[in-house]
Amino acid sequence: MDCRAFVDCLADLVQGTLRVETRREAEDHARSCSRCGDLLAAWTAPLPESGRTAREEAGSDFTRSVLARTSGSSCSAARDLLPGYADGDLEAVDTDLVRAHLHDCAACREVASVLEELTTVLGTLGELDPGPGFTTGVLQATSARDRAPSLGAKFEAWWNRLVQRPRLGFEFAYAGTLLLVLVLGNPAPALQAASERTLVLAQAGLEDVRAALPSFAAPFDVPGSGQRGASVQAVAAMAESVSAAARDAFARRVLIVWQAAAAQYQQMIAAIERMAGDALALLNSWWASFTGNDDDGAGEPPAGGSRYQQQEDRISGRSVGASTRRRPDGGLASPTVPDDAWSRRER
Amino acid sequence: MTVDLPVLIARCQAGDLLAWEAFVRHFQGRIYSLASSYSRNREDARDAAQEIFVRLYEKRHAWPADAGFVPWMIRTARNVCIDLIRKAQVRPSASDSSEAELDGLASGETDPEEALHLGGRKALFWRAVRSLTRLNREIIVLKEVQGLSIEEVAGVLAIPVGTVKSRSNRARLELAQKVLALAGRSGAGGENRGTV
Repeated sequence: MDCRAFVDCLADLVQGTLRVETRREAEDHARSCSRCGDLLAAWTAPLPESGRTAREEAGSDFTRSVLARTSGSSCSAARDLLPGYADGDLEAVDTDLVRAHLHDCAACREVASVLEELTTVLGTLGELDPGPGFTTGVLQATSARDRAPSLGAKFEAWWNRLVQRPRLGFEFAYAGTLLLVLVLGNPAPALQAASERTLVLAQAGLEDVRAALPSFAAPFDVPGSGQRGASVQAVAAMAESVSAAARDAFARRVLIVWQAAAAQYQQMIAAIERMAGDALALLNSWWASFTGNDDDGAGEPPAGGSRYQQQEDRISGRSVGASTRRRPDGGLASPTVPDDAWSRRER
Repeated sequence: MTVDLPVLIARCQAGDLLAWEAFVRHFQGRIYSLASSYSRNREDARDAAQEIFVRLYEKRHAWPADAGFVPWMIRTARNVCIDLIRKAQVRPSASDSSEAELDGLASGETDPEEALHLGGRKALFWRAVRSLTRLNREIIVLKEVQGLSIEEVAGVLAIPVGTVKSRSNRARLELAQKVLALAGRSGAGGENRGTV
């Protein structure tokens, strides 16, 4: 085998695809010819930069050339996965794919190397030496703050203590309900007036029907006989008596409905009044805690009902007796509407 | 000195001066490191760190007593640093915003790495951190330098957890590329690998 033939079969010799006889001839020539021997050594020796052989480099170049003509470089896709690869958070398939890419891409290998080093190096930067005298300077600056707190600091400290109270939302609900009552007023009188207006409208409607009955009966009067007219009059009288009974029954039903509604609203108003009293007590406790006269029991209604309720009782002359029951928390257990209130209105 | 943090916090809140001194010594390195990432030079970083401790002292009655203390402290420290940046008027600028100041940290005339006595690889990484964009720098500082979790970082920066997760990977990639770029310019970063 001469040198030209050796060069022609060199690639196949390196890839191991030559026939046995030809491979033996080529190896013999490489041993006898220094130039061809050096050429074979260059093909099979690892390259200094990548640690891979020329064959492997040739394969990588081929891959890159194929990618350049098809999908383009895969480095961007690989670098998106490099942080997860450095953390070991990738799935096995992605890990293998990234590792295969890093085997052929020196640039991405550098980035991966820095990422692996990043956590270690940056972690050492978490604490730095501020230099001598730093602690002394801080203590001097903070000791100057140990004066009587300003009104703003006092308010801030009070507010911080307030927001840590577990009942704060409940207390603000009380205060909000009080504000609602002050803005909207007491709806019960409007509801009571509505029942009276309903009765007036019902009565007026039935009065109109009764007034129209004679005109209805008039065309049926036969001169001289009187019989048909009389029968019509009897029917009209019967209708009038039926209408009166219906009117009364309707009025009673309306009364029952509105009485029940008014009773419910009376209960609601009584509850609002209790909450208003508690809200007032709450505001008093907040002011007391802000001014330093803090009462740990503030916000809890007194056992005999709120102070506001007790004050109302004294003013109105009501006494907590057998007719007015109190719940264990001090609130009223039943509405205080007298039984004959609706009948008085009806009259 | 081993510190039982809940006990130390309780003692500081009770007005124990020795406990407060121990608290300052325990956290001064961490607070100073955080302040350095927002400051242009060593003096500003010391002033900011001192101001942070004064703010912590004033708010000692509101310190969370549970495991959320460190993230709360770091959030307070960050807020102080941003307030100081807003107040400072380093150079006249049409846009005197804190974001502009934060973005321009890496362009300071002094060499913060030398002032911080950092050498080799640490200096290279620190300079690369300071050259990052604002949000990426804060995420790197809070997560990689200060060791906060993703959820804690999201709480400090008041951004969604998903944003922190996605930005964290991009920030690390940006940092790695900055390190390689700086190492290529200086020609010294790769040679000093491992000799911090």
